[in-house]
Amino acid sequence: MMVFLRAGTFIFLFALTIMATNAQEFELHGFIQANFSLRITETGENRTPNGSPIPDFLLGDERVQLEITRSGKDASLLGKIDFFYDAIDKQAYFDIREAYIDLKLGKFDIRAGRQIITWGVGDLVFINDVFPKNWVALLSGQPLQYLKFGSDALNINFFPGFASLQMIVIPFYQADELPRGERLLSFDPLPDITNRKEVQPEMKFKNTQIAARLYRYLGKFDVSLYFYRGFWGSPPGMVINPDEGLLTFTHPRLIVYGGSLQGAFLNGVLSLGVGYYDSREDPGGTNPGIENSQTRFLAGYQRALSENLTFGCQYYGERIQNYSSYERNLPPTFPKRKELRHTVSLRVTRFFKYQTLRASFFMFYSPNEKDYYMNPEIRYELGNGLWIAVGGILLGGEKDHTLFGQFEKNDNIYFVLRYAF
Amino acid sequence: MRNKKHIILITGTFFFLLLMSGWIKAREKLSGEEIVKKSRQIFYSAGKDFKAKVLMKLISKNGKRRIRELTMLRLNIGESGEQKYYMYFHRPADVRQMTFMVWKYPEKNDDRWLYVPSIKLVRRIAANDKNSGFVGSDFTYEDVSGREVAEDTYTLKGEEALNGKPTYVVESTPRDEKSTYYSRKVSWIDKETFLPLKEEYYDKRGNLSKRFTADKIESIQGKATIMQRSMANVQNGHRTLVIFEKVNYNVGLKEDIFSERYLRNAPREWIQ
Repeated sequence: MMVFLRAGTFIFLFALTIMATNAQEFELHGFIQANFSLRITETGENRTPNGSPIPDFLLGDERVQLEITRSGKDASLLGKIDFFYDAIDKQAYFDIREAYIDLKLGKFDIRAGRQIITWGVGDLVFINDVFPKNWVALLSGQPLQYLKFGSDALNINFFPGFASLQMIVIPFYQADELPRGERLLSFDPLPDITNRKEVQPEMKFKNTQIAARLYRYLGKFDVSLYFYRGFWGSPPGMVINPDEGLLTFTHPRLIVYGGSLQGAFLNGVLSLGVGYYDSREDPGGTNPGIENSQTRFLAGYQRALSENLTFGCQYYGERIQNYSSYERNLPPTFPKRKELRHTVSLRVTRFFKYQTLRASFFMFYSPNEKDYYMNPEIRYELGNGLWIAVGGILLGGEKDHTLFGQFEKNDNIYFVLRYAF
Repeated sequence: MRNKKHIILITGTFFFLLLMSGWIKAREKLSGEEIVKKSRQIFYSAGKDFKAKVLMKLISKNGKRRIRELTMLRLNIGESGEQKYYMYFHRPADVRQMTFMVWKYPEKNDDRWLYVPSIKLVRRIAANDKNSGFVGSDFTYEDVSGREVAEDTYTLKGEEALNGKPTYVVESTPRDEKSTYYSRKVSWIDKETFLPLKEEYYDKRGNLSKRFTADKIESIQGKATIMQRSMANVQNGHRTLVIFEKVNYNVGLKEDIFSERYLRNAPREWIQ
C-alpha cells in the first residue's frame, strides 16, 4: 500500500514539475577532481579486517561530478551524480549525491527525493542535525561537502508568516559512514570478536524517520526548535553474541528534542545550541550496548579580527544522563567514558592576495579527554573555477580509546585539485 | 495711520526678501556634508527597490582576470536607511548558487547570512569586517553598501570640471581613524546627478592608494545610474571593473524574499 502511495505521489509531483518547468532549459555543471591523502604515521603490525596490511594511502580518488538542473518559477529539478575511481581499491563507482524535485506552492516549498539536509548552528558539531554523515570522508581529507550525504526524503516547508515550519519524512534509513578498520585505524573494544555484521532498521513504515524544525527571527536572533524521531547513527548500538563470536552493530531507536539560537553579539556572531538525546531502547541506561540518553550543548562565537581575518571559537559538551547505571553495567574490557565529555574548538581563516590564497586552521581539543583533531589547510584559486588545496589532518590524545585519540595512527596529508565548470 | 501701515509693509517685505535671499544662498551653497548625504542617497538608495545583474572583473597587475557574476536585489525598508540585500552568484562555477544576504541598519553592524549550496547550509557570518574586500575585489563591503555619512567630516574644497562635467570636490576625513583604512578621501561629485564621478583614497601615510571612477552613466527609469565603474589599487596595480546589466528600479520586491526561505531556494523570477 505504502509503495503505491509513494509511487503515486512521486508520479504526481513529477507530472506537476514537467508542466511547470516546460519553458525552461536544462543546465549542466559540475567538476573534475583529484583527491589524494597520504598517511604520515606508522601503522606497525596492524591489519585490516581481512588481514591485509594497512595501506599508506587513505585516498586515491579521481572523480567527475555532474549536476543537471532545470529551474522554473514554481518548480525545479536537480540531479547530482559523482562518478569516481578509487585507486586504492582499483574500483570505479558512482554515487547519486542528490536527485530531487522542488515545488513552490504558495506558502509551501516541497522538496522530494534524494537530498542533503543540514541545519543547526555548530561548527563541525551537530546536535540537532541527525542526518547522514560520512565521518570517514572528514577524517581522510575529502572536501567538507563529502561530510554530508543524501537522505531519501520528503521535505515540506510551510511559511505561514509568524514562523516557518520544516517537516521531513525519511522512509529509508541511511547509516553514517564510520571507520571500520579498513583504511582508518580506530579503537576496538572487542578485538577478539572478528565476525561482525551491521543490521539496519527494517524497511517498514513504522521505521520512517521524522524530523521537524520550527524557526523564526526573534529580535536580532534566528531561533529554532528541533525534533527528530529515528535511530542512533553514530555511535551505533552493539549486540555481542559470545557463543557465536559475533558482534552485531545495530541502530537503536532515538528521539532528539532541541533548540538553537544565532545572532549578532559584541561585533560578532553568537551561536547557542542544545539537544536532549532520548535513548528509547535503553531508558534506564542499563544496556551497555546502547548509548545512554544524553544532553548535548554548544556555545560558539565568531568575528572578524581585521581585514580578511576571521576567528571562531566554540565550546561543546556531551553529558551522559544515567551515569551511575552506565558505570555499573559497563563490561570490564570497555574503557570508561567521562560523565561529561567536552571539547573546545578554534577556527582561524585568513585570506591573502585578493582572496586567491586562503590559509585556515581548525582544531578540536578536549580538556578532560586530552585528545585533539587539527586541520591546517592552504587553498589557492588558480583561475576561474580551478583551485588547489593542501592540508593535514592530525589526530591524537593521551589515551587510545577517546573520540580523537583512537585515530592517532591516521594522521594524513591531503591534496585536492578541482576544476569546476 | 497710513504711514504705520507702510512701515509694517516695507519692513515685512524687507525681512521676507532677506530670508529668501538667505535661503537662495543656502540652496546655492550646499555644505560638503549635504552634498555627500545627497550623493549617498542617490548612489546607494535610489528607488524603492533595485535589481541588477552584476559582472565583476578582478584584474591583477599582470592582466590575469577572474570573474564574479551575480544578481543583486536591494530593498529599502522605510526612510531610516535600513536596507536588505540579496546576492546570488552565477559565476565562477565553484561558487555557483552561493547566496549572500545582508540586512543593513543605520548605526549598527549588519546582519549577514551565507548559503553554501554543496551542503545546503545556511549560517550567519560575522559582519564587522567592513574593510575586507568584497568577494576578493578592490571594493570593500563598505564600498558595496555604503558608509554612514556621520562617520566622516567633510570639507567642500571647491568646484571643478571633470571630463566636461561640473563637479563639487569634497574631502572626507574619518572621525574615528580606526574605523577605516583611509586617512582622507577626495570625491568629485556631479553637480547635476550627484553621483560620484571619481574618488581618490589616501592611506594612513597620506599616499594615494585607491581610485574609483564612474566610467559609464545611463539614465534608467529617469534615474542616473552608474552602469560601469572601476576601483583601482594604484599601489599594487590590481583593479576591479564592475558592469551593471539588466538594471531595474521599483520592480516590486517584497520583504519576504530576504529570508532563509529564499536563501535556501532562490526566487527564480528575480535572479534570472
